[in-house]
Amino acid sequence: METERQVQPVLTVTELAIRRGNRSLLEGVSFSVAQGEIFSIIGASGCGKSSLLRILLGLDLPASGTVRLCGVDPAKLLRQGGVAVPHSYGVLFQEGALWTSMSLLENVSLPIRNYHREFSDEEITDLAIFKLALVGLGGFENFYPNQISGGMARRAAIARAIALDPPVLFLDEPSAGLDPVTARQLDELILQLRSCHGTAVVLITHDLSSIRRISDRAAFLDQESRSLLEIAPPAEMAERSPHRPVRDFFGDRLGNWPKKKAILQRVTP
Amino acid sequence: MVVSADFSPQARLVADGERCRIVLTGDWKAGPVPAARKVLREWEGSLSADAITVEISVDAWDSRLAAFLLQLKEALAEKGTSLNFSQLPKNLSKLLQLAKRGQAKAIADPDLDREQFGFTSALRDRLAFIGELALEIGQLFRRKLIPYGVGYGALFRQCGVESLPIIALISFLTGTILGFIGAVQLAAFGATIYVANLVAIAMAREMASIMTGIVLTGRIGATFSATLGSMRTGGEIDALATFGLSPVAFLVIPRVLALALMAPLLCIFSVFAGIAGGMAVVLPMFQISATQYINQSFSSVELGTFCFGVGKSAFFAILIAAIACRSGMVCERSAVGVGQATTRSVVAGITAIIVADAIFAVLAERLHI
Repeated sequence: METERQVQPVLTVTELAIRRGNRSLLEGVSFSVAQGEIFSIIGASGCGKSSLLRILLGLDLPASGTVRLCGVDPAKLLRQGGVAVPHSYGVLFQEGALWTSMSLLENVSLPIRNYHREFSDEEITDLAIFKLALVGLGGFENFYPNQISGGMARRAAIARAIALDPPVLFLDEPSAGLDPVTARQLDELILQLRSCHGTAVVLITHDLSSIRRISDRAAFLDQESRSLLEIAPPAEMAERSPHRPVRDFFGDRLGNWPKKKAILQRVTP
Repeated sequence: MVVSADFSPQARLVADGERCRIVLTGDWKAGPVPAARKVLREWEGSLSADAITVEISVDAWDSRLAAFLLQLKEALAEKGTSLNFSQLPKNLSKLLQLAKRGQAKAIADPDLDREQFGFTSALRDRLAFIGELALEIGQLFRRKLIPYGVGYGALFRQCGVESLPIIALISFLTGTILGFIGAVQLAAFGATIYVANLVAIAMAREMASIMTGIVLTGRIGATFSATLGSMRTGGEIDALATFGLSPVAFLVIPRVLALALMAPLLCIFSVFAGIAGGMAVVLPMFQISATQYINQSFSSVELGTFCFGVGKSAFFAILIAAIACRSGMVCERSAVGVGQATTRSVVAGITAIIVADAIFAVLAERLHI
């Protein structure tokens, strides 16, 4: 794992501020993600991870600051009425968000069909079947999202996200609600995709083991100070972070909560 | 079982000289627990000390006691009096400490975005949606780019064929009602044959389009907004947007198209069903043959009137679909939000139909259609 890569960053965030209504969520967030890097965004629930993601994707506008995603500013596109940066990224939303009215094959082929109008139907179908096979869902092409398990839906959504071979992949809590084995398989899949395509991965997650296992660097968002507290490789963060919230996040201590014994005493008045 | 008054939870204020104590007695697990603020109001005036000690000699207690003490402490703190918990049993004071620590800081107060309640912004949002819809329809004609993968067949079937039975029933009964009203009134003049005119013109001009519109609002509008609402909740709409696929082009246009194309057909069907309904009333009541009735019906309705009614139904369909899709697409991301969006789309849809029909009636009168 290298801390710094001498590669052109695919995603650069500069002095980003996020507000919801009048309330400030995050201020002064800056980081960049290099090509082929797996970058985790971590932090307690409610610290603004999902809001940050929506801004990175160009679904919401930031209060201030800029984002450059493959050389394009998503906020500018959004202001102009455009919705996204075609080709430049794929997203795995929480719970997958597959289009429920379409089969898995149609889910994967819809983006391809709308971007590569020059492709023939057969080409598109072959490509979609290939993408599904990549994530281990060969043979499930004609299943509908409500007919498969949560882990499979997550994988199918990854197949859809990589349908256009994007240089950046955003994964929003890919392992939430999955059993450890399935979660590990997903991690494995992410690593393989990175090594095959050189895809940069921006991972939003709570899953400590997944963070340690696959991410090159992690950014810790702190709710208290409403800022990006630290960017470092996760192992480094866990061992010698100068910041208390970061150590608490990685540590198995319960911060300043009462010890186990006290909890036991409390239940018998 | 009657709980004796002696065992009911009680909080007493004991003042000895400079010092104040609060003594809690009774069974704090069974009886009705006093409200902290109410108790405090009763003590108003007799609270002299800055610090009050709490003493507990209760028989049993549950979390309500802790909640009472916490409330009391907060209320007293507002008055500048502190509550001393040092005399409490260990487990209770631990519980109180835990509750104090658990109180989240007020960073997460759910401040509602005031602006979204403003009339001007609401109007602006709606206009923006209409504009977007118009632009996408323009794109459709200019680039001949019909979104793929929408399932047009299913949409057309849902809007058209599957709506036939209910439209047939409602229209037939509407025709029957009109027939009855006409029959009773016109029989007094001996003009029973003109019931056919009444039913046919009423159906063709107004009732068919309105009834079709109302049935479609309930049947299809509700479905559209619930579908789009849960797609929004599940992130499917965002997923479309992240592929650069316009949600309006992919989700709204096909639905508006399907409904706008199916509604006129349903409306025509509704006219015939209504005429049949009128006939079912008139034939048994008077000496009129079916041929006579049908001839009278068809000769009374001019082509212009008929087209006016059918055209209106297409317009209503666009209104219904646009309102339903919009309310689904802007709905709150929760189960309750989807329900509200559905209700809103049905209410707004029916209102819009009636209002639009009134406007059409005035226009038609002015333009002598």
